[in-house]
Amino acid sequence: MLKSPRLVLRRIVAADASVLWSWRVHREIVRSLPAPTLNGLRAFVRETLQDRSRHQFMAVAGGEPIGLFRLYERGLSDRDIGGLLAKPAWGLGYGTEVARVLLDYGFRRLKLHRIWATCDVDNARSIHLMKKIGMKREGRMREHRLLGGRWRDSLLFAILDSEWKAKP
Amino acid sequence: MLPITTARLVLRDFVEADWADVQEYASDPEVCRHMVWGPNTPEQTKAFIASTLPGQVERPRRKHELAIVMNGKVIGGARLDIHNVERGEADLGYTVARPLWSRGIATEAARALLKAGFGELKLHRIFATCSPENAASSRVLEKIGMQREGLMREHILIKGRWRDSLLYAVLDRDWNAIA
Repeated sequence: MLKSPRLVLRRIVAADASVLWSWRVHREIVRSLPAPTLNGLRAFVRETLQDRSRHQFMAVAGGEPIGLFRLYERGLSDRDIGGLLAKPAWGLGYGTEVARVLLDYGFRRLKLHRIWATCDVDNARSIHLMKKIGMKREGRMREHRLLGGRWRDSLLFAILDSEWKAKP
Repeated sequence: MLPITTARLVLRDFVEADWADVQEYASDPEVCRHMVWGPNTPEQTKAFIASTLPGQVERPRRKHELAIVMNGKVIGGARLDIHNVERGEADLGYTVARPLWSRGIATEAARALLKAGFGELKLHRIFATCSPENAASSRVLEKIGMQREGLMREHILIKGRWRDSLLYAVLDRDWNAIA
């Protein structure tokens, strides 16, 4: 379990599938959920629990699950972070707080060299967050993701352990 | 889909007996200079070939780690690895034995994989990474219609040194426009 001043990050559990499902009431979230149906979300949670290289966390604030975040291994010393926040938790700096906890966990505990993330080219909130935590833009992946039936470009951001540890 | 035949080459699944041919190039330090692996011992080459076998029988098939064969001899390897089925996204890579460099072998093999990837496999996006110091490989990726999309800093550890990677990609519609 990881902690920050306002949050606890715990490993996801089977019951989280219905928590994720309840977040679908917010249209902006629906597109980011790992699956579009309750059964799909159950399968996602099941697969996550079986694969230890997926560090998938539920962020909890004041006893309330507010976001799903991951630090996910794909290849040698190159992991990505990602996540989504339930709409009521937007604008409170929770995303930044969780991302910083995950970077610290990745660089200090898992001894990673590099952590990357992608976001939709028009997702101003995510872009702002990634810059704020010190990630640098490295590229633009054309038609990387299918969103609501349309291909969308993704921006690629990354941060190195040396950059993270040099931060004041 | 397999074997894939081009003007000069055949791309097919590896078999255990290929190890001696593979070892000829996989033990060459120049060939593996920009690779995470190598130079290989015979055991490492046999282990590599064994590692490609499960992908050959998986259905639906995602990993295509193929031998490049010219005149009956394995002279390199080519890979098309589907990462994300939903997004139709795969990555491509290749290795060619040094005596055959500068003869368009990698280009010919890579083009054949794009044709199969966007054709039969109905992929949407195929990407590749290469070292900024590997001009020959960049040229191959540009020749087959890939566009440079970014520079991933200190992306992989090669022979004890962190190295940047250029990211290249080609979309199905780019391919259809040039093919």
